[in-house]
Amino acid sequence: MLRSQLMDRGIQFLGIGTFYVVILIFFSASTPNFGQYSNAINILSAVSVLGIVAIGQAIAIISGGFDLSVSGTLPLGAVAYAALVNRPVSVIEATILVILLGAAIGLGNGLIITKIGINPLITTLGTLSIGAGLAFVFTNGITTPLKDLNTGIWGNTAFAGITYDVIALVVLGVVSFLVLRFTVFGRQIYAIGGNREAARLAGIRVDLVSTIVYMISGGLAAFAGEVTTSQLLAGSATVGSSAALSSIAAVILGGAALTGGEGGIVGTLLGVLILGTIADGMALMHVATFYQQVATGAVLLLAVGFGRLRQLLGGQR
Amino acid sequence: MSLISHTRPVRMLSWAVIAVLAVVASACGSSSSSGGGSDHYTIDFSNVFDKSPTFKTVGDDMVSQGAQVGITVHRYDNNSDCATVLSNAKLMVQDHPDVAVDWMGCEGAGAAVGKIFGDAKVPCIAVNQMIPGCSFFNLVNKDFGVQGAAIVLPLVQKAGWTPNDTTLILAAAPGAGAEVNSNSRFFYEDLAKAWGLDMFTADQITDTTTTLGKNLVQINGQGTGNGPLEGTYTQLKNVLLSIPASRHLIVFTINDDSGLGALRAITESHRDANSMILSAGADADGVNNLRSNPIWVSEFSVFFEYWAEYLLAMGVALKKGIQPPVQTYCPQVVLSKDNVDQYYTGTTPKAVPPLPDQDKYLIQTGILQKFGNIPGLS
Repeated sequence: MLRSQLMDRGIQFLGIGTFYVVILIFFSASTPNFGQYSNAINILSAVSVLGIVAIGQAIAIISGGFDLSVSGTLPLGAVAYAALVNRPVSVIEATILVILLGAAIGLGNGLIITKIGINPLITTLGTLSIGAGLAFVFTNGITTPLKDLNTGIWGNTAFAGITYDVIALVVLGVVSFLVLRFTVFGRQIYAIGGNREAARLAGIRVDLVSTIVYMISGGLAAFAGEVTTSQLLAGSATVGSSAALSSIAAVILGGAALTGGEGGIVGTLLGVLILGTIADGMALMHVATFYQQVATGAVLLLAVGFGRLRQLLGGQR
Repeated sequence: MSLISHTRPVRMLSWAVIAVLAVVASACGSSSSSGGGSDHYTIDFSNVFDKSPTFKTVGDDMVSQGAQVGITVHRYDNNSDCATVLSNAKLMVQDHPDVAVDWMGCEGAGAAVGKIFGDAKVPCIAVNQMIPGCSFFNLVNKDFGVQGAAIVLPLVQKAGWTPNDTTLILAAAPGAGAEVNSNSRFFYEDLAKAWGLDMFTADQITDTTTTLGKNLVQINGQGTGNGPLEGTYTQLKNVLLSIPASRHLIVFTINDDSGLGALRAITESHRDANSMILSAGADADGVNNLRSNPIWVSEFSVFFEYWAEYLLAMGVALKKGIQPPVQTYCPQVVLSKDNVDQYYTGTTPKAVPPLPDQDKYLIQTGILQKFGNIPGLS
């Protein structure tokens, strides 16, 4: 009995949180600059864009879907924001318009998936290409600098070195966590991801909820593009190409299942932090990017592997 | 099942709190910095793209040659990704180097990176793409185009080609900015002026240009996610289907990978008897082809092997308060079959051109003399 409990504890210890602590301890011991307060802020700021995208991706994956189109929506949101604030449109108006633009792309995804019945992977792959292409079309491939640098507010410092992009990530994280955990809509998302047909039979408007999920994911991806433009002080069509795969990696790292119905925002954000911390720590250690790629992939497999091991030893399938 | 699903986020939250506490704790316990001393310089160098052997060499040389002259070089990789560029700029500032050298490889990040260095008051050098507030080190892409046109003109005239039966294919780098693409665009403009092609100026050729007049076709030489070799090969192979086999081809490529892709497409299409290729980078494949392949007529060499010593010298100059010019030029020459032996033994560079006037301030640092590679400096 005691042995079983100890084993259970031991396996639990090998969870994603432990993983992160181990990583923090390792890098703190390996490179002096890692432990600085300013570096913690750097990590948070660096992962803010991926984090915002990953929140939307997490909701899509929990609902049993996929959203590859974030890699197209993000650059579109980035160049749209730059174009809008340069007209000039106020930051608030531009933000609303950018989020609506992303939500419109999500609406398109949702309608194609639910009404026409095309697989989410194929649908969002198509809209990825369209979004990324349109970003180049609108800008002629030319980077658009912000005429008024004050419009790049998300990259500015709010207090104690913490930038607004980090605050945006935290606020969105808290809101989405609360929505997923404590609202009917959140439970419907889990239900749809767990068993779509059962959810339908239980009276959930599956198509509507799924479409809203893609609208949320699209809106967040476009907003992430706006944040990117704020950070760069310029709108570029070349940004965000890795957002889809990185966000999926973060969501899976955070304990979600690709089959849907499992996962959460806290785990996702922890996954994002792990990816960002590894990149930051290895850069500080001056490790060649080849090894960084290898390490990131290995960590992903290890973390997911430990999660699976815990499930198996806990008798879950 | 439901119990597990409710306890998991709580457990994860607990670990997240522990993680944040760990960061804060280590933040409190560490306040050291690696600022450069007065007689030992520290330079932080963020390279453009370590996955390219050519660019990786520059990073390797920065570290090894820096050590030879008593400069510690901390190295980063921008991976040609804007987000990574920003992140690395912040890491460099955090390191408090004497000078930061940033080869961004991202057209959009200049203003933000300049602000990061400016706010931290870290002297900086921008490589290849301008960063506001930083000294600028770059090649002159336009020269490649202008001198390339001068090399090609007598060759096409000697071969009996005419503007009416020749197509120029520019394998460009869309999104990399006007400066980078000025090489191919000025190549067309100058050849058009001298030879009588349909006249378009460099400004009229943009990232979205595909065809102009009867002589100009532009493709994406960088590829779309598949790299310049495969990218140029695939696009050129497709384009060649629409160009009559009787037309002569002059293909201007952005680097040697792109050039090799073009060569493969031309050879497979059996167009090598009436084609010419101009390439850039002067890697071993490029120089070998220039020496041995009749259709490979020019190679733009910027002597990446010597960039490190220039950048180290620039860094020391900045630290010593020497005001650099608007742009410091890298060593560069446009190679043809006639002058390749003057600068290369086999595929190894044996000489660089003398320092141009605007680079002569580097002599005061004494760094270039320590390596002895510049003619006239010892």
